Amino acid sequence: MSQLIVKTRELCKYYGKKSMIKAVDSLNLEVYEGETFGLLGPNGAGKTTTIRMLNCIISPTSGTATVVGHDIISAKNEVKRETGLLAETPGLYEKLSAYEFLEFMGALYDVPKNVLSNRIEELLKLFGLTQRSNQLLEGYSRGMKQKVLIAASLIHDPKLIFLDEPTSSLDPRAAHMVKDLIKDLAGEAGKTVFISSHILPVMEELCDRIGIINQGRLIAIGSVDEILTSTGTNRLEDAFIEITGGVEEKELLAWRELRGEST
Amino acid sequence: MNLPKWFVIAKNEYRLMTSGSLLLRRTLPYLLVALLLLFVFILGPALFDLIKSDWLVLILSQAALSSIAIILLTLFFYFMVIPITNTLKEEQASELEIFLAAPVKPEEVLLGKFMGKLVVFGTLAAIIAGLFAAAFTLVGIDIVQMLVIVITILLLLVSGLWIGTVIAAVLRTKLSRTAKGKDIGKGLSLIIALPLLGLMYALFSGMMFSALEDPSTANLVETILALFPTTWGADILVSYANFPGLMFPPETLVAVAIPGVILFTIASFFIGNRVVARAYSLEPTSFTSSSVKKDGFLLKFIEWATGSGQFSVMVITIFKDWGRRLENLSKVGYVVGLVFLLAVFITRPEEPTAVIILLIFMIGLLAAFVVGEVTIRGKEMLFIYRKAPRGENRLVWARLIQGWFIVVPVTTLIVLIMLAFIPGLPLIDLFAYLLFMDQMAMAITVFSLGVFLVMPAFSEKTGEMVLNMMGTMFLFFILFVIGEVFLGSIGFVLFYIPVSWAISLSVLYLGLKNLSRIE
Repeated sequence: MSQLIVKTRELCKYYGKKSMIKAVDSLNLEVYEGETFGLLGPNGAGKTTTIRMLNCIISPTSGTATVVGHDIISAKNEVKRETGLLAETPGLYEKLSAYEFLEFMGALYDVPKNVLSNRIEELLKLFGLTQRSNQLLEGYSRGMKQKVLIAASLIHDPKLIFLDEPTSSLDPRAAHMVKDLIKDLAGEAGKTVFISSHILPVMEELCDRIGIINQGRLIAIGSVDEILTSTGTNRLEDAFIEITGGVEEKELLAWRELRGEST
Repeated sequence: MNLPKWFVIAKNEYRLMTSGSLLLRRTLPYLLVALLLLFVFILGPALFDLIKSDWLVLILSQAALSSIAIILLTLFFYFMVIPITNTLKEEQASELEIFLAAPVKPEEVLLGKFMGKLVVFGTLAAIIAGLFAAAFTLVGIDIVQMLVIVITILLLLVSGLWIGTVIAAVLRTKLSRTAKGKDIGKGLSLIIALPLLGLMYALFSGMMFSALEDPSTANLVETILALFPTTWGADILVSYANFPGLMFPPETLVAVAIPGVILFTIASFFIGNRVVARAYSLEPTSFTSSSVKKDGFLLKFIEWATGSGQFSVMVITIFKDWGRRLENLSKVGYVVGLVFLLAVFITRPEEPTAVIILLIFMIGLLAAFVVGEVTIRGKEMLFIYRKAPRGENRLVWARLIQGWFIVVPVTTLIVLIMLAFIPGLPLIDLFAYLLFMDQMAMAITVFSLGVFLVMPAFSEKTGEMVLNMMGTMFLFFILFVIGEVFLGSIGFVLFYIPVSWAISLSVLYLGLKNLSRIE
């Protein structure tokens, strides 16, 4: 049995007056070392909030979690050292070159200088960025920036990598490359990968297990087959709609009827 | 019938400008008319009544024409610079996409945006025109003359605004072709205001009027002024002052000046529209990426000075990101230029108190420009640091050191500029001034960084940005005045320096605490 690498206990994050908005509500989740885990959910379900809490970027309202054996409240620095994060809307110094940005990220995570330059070279080579490593990031395409950001999340060789919507803004070629990379990270490099997304085919292809979150609560967890069996469906999309509650086709087309009435 | 596109865009601009209050949106046009009438008939006459005797001497004197021509010219340039500064500063990529996708011509977009903004700037022009009209009621001009004065000034200022809009549009098209061009544009947005400030300071200091009184320079100044349409406007105003009640006074140029101003306005709109149709484009042009060069002497020195370790990489990273944005360098240039203009035209550098007060203001502005950047790139940039171990503390230290590396040398430079105007200043006094101002620059930088962390500004246009900037500039000025008035020179030194540092460090501590709470 693999070791637990993420364990949350009644993890909550509330916002607003009198904590009206429950971004994450009593989340109990377990992720095992070496697996690729996917957190799936509609927009606003609480995926990014969960990832931000697990990376100690925001503090939970209540409950707690351990990440790579460290408590996210009392051992923040240890958690941060052991994890890499590709944020959904990541910050990027556009006036730096790819090399300079990776050098900066390495320094931020205390990567020794004698190791850092070799690691940057390797990552640039892996992502096919060597030729343009001295150009400012402001001139990079979105896909290339995403490559740099993934490289940055790996610069300190973390055990656990969080990828928040890693392919949502990419063209098919770049998305394919990112998917291959995630497979390699999990397979060859033996990393644990925690992906958050609402793109079903990506999750289906990459994840060993999937947790479905809706309105801040975890409402299903298991392998894709387990989820399909439990919902009695054949496709993950149908299962997702069954679990989260979909919109009837009739409702979707209601506007056309209204339009017909008005003209 | 469909509305003209420029009108649709103008209406949208108006809605955007008044989005804060629906009540304001509905009532603004009426408010403007009421404000104009208030200025023309009540506030203006009351104001000019206070300086009636001096004012009458001026507008009925030989120098009246040149004096009013200079005032109008300054206002004309001011209206011209507003759109240039705004356009160069802004990047409206997402908004442009809307116009690019719609069947609308670039010149319609420009005209629509101009007309939309006219509500705000037109108000300003109307108030100015109203003030002038009110000022001339003192000599007994009639209602027709008053109307001509208001229309003349409105036409001149709106023409200035339109010419500035056209220049800005063409500059934007040319500069937005490359990333560097965009940077240059943003850099220019501030620097471009310096010549205008020079003109205004020369006006306020009386230096311009002295040049008009001096026979050796008067001819040159008058010849230059005659080239501008604002001088035709001044002709109308002065002629009416001398001949109240006459629409076309005898032996004056009014009969030529009125059609001249109207023709100038029509021509500026016609030619401007043609220029825009040819040279203005909304399309995103080829975007070339710049390559970085090896670190120069300055960066190597900073690396050495900060220990050549991982922390120095962070300081240098912040330095590179800051320095590669030309707008930041232009802000520093702006402060230095402003100090120079103030030293030449306004202050009397032989008065040490005035010099220190002015420099404290300027250092506050400079520090806010430099370290106010700490949150300007958004929360996502902060989260990069928060994700790293002890990242936020290191961000604050790196920002502070970067701030000191810029603010202290520039302070030394501006102190030397000011002191250069004091003849025969003893060397010991020079060093004392430098020492005092440099340590104040360090304290002000600490305060500014702290205040921008306590009340973060996540974009350059936020109210927080302005408030923090004003706070940084005024706090140390107020402390200075308290020390100077109540404690005398020794007590002042014992009070001002420690209190400034104590407040600055406390605010930085609060800022650091607040930084960890930003979500």
